[in-house]
Amino acid sequence: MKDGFRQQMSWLHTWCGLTAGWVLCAIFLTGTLAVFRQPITQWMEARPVVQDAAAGDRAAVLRAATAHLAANAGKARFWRIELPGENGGPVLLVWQGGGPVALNPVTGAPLTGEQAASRKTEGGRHFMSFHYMLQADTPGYWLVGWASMCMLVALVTGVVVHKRIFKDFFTFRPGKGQRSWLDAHNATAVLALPFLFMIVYTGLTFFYTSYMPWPLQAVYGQDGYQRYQLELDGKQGAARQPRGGAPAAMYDLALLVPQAESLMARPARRVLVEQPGRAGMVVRVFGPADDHRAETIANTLSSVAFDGVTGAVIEVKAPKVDQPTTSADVHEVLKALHLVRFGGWSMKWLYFISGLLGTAMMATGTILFCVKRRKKSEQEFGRATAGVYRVIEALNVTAIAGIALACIGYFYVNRLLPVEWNDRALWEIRAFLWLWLATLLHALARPFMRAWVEQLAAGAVLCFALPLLNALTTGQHLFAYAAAGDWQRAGVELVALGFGVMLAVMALRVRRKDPR
Amino acid sequence: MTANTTRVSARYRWEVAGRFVLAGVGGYALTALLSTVLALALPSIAGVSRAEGVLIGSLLSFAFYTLYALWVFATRSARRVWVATVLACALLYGTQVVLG
Repeated sequence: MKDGFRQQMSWLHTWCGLTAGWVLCAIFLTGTLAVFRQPITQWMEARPVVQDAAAGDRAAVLRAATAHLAANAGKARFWRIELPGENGGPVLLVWQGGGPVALNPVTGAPLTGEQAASRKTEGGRHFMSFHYMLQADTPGYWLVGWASMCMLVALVTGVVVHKRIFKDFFTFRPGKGQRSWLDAHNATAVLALPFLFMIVYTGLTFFYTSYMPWPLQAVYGQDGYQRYQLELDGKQGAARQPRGGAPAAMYDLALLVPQAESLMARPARRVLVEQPGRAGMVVRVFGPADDHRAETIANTLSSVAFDGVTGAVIEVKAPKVDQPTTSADVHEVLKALHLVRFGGWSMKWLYFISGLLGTAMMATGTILFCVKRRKKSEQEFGRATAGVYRVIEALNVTAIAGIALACIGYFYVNRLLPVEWNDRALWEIRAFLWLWLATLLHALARPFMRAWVEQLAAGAVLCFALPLLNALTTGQHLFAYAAAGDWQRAGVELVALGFGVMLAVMALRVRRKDPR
Repeated sequence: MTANTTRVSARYRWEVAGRFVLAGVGGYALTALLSTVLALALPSIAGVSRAEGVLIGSLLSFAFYTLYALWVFATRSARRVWVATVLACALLYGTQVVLG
């Protein structure tokens, strides 16, 4: 630590930023990808493109679905019907202990063989789980919490250290070595600063009852969470329908679904039937999980519950537009802010770009640490300094190029694992983690400039070849998706190509610096 | 530490390690106590409901934690940081027992 307030803050910024920066790069890149986890899951499931649902007779399809479930799952405690989203696809039937069975969304006839195929996969959810617990359960979850606190500290100290924050925003001197890295670090940080503060704070408060449970326990006792939530909502728990009961016939779904849609003012995406075929039957119709037409940021999932026998409306849940906001909405809004549950695709793209800027900010920061010391060692570690610097260089390669390589590798594993395996999802995640470990070993074994070039180039090649791999393994590809209007899956491959260009440019630039 | 000393004293290393532990563990304890006392006290001093007290105390805790970590590394005397933290924790714990 050095003398003087600004020097001390600078010291803290350097070391806090460096040590947390490695894991934060991985958290940020996967979090950025998780913005588009649904399109990624769709791409990984690799369902064949089916005709557009709008062309079919939905009432007939719903009746066919009910008939199929009654015949095959009469004793199940629940039925679930997944209706096609904006991308088409089949109608899916799931029940307690069974399914999914895919129905043709136009005719309602069960799809068989090739047409019904969907790959078992963890999909985009993997990026989300890795983002908040590093696929390492409770220790991973606390490590992410610690890294997030370090990020808050690094952000505040970063602002303290940079006195010319406004001027820095307009300053970029490329091709000037260390000065350019500092400019890039400042420019990305300043540009994304409000986003970075928001995303890290909402990330921490997302789990506030787990990270900081003590106020809640002091006031409500050990198991007080339920009572706390009820008091915050200012109401008692919703009345439950009596369970089970005598056999009864179900009200026509083809009438309930359109009614729910007009009550929610949203298309129906999922129908859940609780206690099917019994007097206590409840039919819940849910709107889209990804609501593009949200009028409010407190954008809770819309749903309508019906008495399954009489068709009477029990409960309507919709985003609160006209009602006043209460303290019960605070956490919902913090969550919505973190998960981009508002603003539709344009907001998702903004988050995606801001997330990439944040990743770039951390990457340039950790690289700056090394660039500065390549010129003149600061001897912070006595005789071990050179060795420590070597390890830091390797960790930088792993945290930036390595995690990118592991992410694109994850897509490859999805396509290359045998389709008939049951543990595919597990092995996809294992392969991702092994690949990341391999990049660390590679970075330690090779001269670090070579390691940068090799890993960045490998990532670029994998990104460029993704549509080709898809065409070879499933017969689907960018142009097929685009022709069918499936822009979500086409988008996954287009973004991969974009990443390919970025990684290739980086690889070429590092190579020019390294004459060997 | 100045830039031209090539060796760093062992004492300096221990001091940095101590501040790191204090910022992490001490900071968490202090923050937990402070937000708990806030949650207990807010209903009577600010007129919010019991649940809102918990919400406000918990959500502010992350800001307290950040500020405390900055203070740990900004204060010149490491001993002063240790003494102040222990005293503050004791005081807050006493308040929590009285209020709870």
